[in-house]
Amino acid sequence: MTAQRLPNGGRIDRASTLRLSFDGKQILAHPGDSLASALLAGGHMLVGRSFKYHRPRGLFAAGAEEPNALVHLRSGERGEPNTRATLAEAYDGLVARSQNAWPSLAWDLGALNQLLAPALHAGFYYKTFIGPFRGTGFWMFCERFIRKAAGMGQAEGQEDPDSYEKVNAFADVLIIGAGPAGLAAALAAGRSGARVVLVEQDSLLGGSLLATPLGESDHWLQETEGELRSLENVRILTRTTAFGAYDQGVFGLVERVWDHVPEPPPGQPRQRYWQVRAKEAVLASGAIEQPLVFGGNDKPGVMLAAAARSYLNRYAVLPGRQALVCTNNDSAYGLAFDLLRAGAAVTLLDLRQQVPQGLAGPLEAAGATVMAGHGVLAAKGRARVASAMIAPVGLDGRATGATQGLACDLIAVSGGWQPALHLWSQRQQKPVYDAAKGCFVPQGSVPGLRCVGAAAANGRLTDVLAESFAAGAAAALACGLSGDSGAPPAAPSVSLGDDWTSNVHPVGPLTKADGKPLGKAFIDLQHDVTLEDIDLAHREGYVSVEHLKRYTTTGMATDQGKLSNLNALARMAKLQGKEIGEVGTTTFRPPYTPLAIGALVGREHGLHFRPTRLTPIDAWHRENGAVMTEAGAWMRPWYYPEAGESLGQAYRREADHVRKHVGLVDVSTLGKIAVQGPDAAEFLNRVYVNGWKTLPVGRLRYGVMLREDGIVMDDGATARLGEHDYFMSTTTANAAKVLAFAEQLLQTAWTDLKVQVTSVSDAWAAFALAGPKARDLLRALAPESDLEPEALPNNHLVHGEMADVPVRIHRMSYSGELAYELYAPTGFARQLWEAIIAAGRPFNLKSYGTEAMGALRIEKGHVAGAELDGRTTLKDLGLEGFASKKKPFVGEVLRQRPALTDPARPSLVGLEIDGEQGALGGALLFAADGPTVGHGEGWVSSATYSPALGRNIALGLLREGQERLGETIRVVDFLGGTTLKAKVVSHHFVDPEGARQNA
Amino acid sequence: MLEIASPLASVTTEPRPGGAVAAAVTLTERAPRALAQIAGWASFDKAVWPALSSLGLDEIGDYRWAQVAVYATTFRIAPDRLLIAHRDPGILAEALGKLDPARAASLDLTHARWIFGIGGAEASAFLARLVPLDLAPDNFPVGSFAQTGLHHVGVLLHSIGPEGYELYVPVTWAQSIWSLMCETAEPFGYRLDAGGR
Repeated sequence: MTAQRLPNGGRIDRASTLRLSFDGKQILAHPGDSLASALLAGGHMLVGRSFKYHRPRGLFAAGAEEPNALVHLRSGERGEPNTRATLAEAYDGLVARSQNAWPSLAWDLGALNQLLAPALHAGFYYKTFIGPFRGTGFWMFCERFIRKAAGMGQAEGQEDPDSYEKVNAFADVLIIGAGPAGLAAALAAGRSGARVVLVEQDSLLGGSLLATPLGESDHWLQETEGELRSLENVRILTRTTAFGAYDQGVFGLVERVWDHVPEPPPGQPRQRYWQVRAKEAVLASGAIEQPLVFGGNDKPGVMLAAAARSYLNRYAVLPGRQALVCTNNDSAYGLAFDLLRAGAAVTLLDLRQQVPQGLAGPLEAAGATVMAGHGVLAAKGRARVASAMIAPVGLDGRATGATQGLACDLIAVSGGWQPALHLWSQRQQKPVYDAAKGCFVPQGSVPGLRCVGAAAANGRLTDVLAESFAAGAAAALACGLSGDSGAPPAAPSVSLGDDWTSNVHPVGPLTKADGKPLGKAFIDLQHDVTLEDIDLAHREGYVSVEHLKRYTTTGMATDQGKLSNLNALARMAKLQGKEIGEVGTTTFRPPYTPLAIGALVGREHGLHFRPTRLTPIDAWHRENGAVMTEAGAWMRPWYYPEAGESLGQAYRREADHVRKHVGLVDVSTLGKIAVQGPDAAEFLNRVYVNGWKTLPVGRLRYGVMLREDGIVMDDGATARLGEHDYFMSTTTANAAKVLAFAEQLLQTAWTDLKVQVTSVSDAWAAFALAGPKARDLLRALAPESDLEPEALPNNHLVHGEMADVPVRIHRMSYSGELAYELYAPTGFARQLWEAIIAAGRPFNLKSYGTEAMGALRIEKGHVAGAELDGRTTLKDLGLEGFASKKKPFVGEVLRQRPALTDPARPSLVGLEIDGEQGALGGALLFAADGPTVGHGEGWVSSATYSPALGRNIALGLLREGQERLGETIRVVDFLGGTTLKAKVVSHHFVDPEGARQNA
Repeated sequence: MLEIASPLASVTTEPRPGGAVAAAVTLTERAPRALAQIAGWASFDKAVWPALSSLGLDEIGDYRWAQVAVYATTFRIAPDRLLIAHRDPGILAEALGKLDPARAASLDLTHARWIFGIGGAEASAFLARLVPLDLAPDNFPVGSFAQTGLHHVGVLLHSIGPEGYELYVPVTWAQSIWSLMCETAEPFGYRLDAGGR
């Protein structure tokens, strides 16, 4: 017989019927069902195949701890693997399929692995594929096949069409878990006036009460929930899992906002990641019932007693008509009573030698058979439980008498309970073992975090409510809220056996008299870790729980120790002759349950993976056909192709055009820093290697700055705009770094200076107008300004107006041509740009992009980011002459280190490349006839085709470079597999005298 | 007179009806009329006084509360820095001219920032999806401001009414932030207020 839906009862809405699909078969359900309960109601005892052995598996739990029923939910682009059927709410049209089975769940070829089971022990992969071989090559080859045979679900390769979002929330008191303990705490804190966030991973409030028979607890729940919802200061989040606890009262939650419908309504997020900052938190996360270890304890039909009770009372699904209940504590008696009432035959095996008469007596009176000091040694049956082998057992779990068979279709087990302390442990806490309660309990305090209810291993409901209510009130009080919480709620009457803490007797694995299990006995169902694997690890010398976990994989991945830890630790302790407390537990880490990566990402993907920075001319560039490129966070015009030009064709044309006519490039991305104050010149004197005290107003100067260790940090021109006002420009890449560097110096080392530095990169747009016709064009644009060479020579500036836009004109050149940098307020920039373009037509003006700009500066031999790479000194770059000998500056001392003054250091040179093929940045330099070993004698920093020279050129750093001008060397690109010849030349390829830029 | 061009001029932003609550968020954008920074050194509070008193302000304010005069709003953005938004560039320039350059420096930042207005019944809930600030009325009451990070960009958020905020965003990041804001507002339903561009 299989499980079946009862004709009445349960907390489901029988008025409507939902149609679900599992492996292509229709499943009927009602609102309120989970996928798991619907499967069980439909008689689907087989829901999955195990990880390694592909053994048939059924539902084992009813909540987040479910190890077996991992299904692929939905299909196509919304498909989601490894979803617990127990947490998936039923909805009309739900589609799910089983995983890790081929060709079908019932007939799975992978089940042949069971024949190899003796070989597939812990450490199998290391011993078989890695250990016997040198390196990992063999393993890498085999891995692709092994991954297909073993594992869980597969992610969809398609883009997820749904959106996810992140929310910041703040609370006085965060309460995790809305079972009776959490509800009582929320009530107290809420009544006190605290801002409360109550989090429940289920769709309903109630926790363990939902697994009890319909009755008084429902009335209690209704009243309590009603009051909480009436409090404006209480926010209730259902379908929300608190997955992580972090320092300073920060908690991570994921709300499954629209996972319970086929697809979210338009515009609505599927899931929501809450980052909650709480002054106080109450952990009411309950406890997780632990399995018993015996032969065949993974067969469909074996499940946790609490799960069976949940299916029975919450979903009105009778999981078996011939039930065998095996327990070491009182809590399973509640199930036995409920099963009897539902019409099942019940045999209860109590592992304790003395049964609790207050429970056993009434149970027997109700028609059950109670056997003290008995346990189940093996579950029997092919695809599901058909019978059990039972025997009298001793205190250590070994059989002490004859084994007998007992027909049954359900084996409900309770091996005690373990408080769900994952979040508490994530705050760097280790729980301690309480032998009396048979579980690890929280000990020691985490500031601002209180454990209550079953999470604190507290038993009776009346006590739980009182203690949790007090904790809620205390948490509110700790937030400074002393409002009247009133009286704690009276406890509802629940059935017998609600207390698992007071009379529990932990036992080891249930085995034959010789200590061996009667069949394969599993410690970790999810990872197919058996009792034998634990024993093997012990024999091989694994003495640490952390090593045991990694060697056997027990408690890893989605289980996170929920069901496997306690039994594994108990076994390890026994093998080592220690108490369980002495071996300790493994470390719990977030997340408590698996999360969709999408929830953590929120909207920060695709276009919003990171913020994008745009110049005010960005739209013009796009409208005029520019191909854009990323430069840090900026988008910049790379090149403007004409008539299908390639990048190479376009930038060569653009660079050539600048040399022959005039070009305009958007350099608004340059870093711009206002340096203000009476001591601004002194500040510049200290940060730059060259002197600034004599720079008059209206002049600008190129400067180089070093890091404190003597390495070049950045360069750029700084203009003096007024008595106390300077305008510093930096490279695009180093703008933020230079500003932070300056701020740090001013706030820590140079507090004596009256200087302020402020980024004005956003305030000013900048364009470079370069080429022999640049002055002529500017004259047309700014007739009021005196631009003659005598009035505005290099390194001078003038204020002017163009097209009604106030403009500052800096005479300076990056390209080596006659050039000006035009600075205009950002909001007027496009107007100015368009005016220049319009005025430039008679001068054959063309816009050019960053690729041509780079080609021009390489031709001129200017250094840029590729040369200022954090390794080079002034001398390396040929900039030694800028360093003042009359004043100190940052980096002055450490630049004199022997390593930085070694004459053999690579220094900047030009390279004329032979042939049609250009060099690539990063290629290594070797002597023409030397060995090709190691890192060579230098590297190519920048490379381009030079339209001016009609050949490929490059800048590079070459060992003793200045001594080797004229030498032919080799340029080796190991990645591309090419070797080029190059002649070492001066890095000033074009107009080394500066006649063009000084025209 | 020149008009400051919007960094969103090329962006197509269409309002979305949203879910259950239509247009629960209102978004607007505008340029600051005049925005300037005063920065100083020792005795900063005294150094700025000539300018502040000229603007009708009687306090320099602290790091949470904006000081408001008839046309001016000031934000104390650092111990020795003040950001001043003003409706009249001429008046602001005149006030800044009263500063002693040896004691304080002024800097025009009008073109450096763009202002997004956020209003509507769900304005706070919307912002909770963007900034890590507790915007509960008793924690972030009308008149308060905060400098924070929005999508990794430094911004200044000012509460200007029970359901209204102004966000000062560096202008070169504005389009990226706006795009994210529109996407974030979609679940609420949003509209672009006629007061915008």
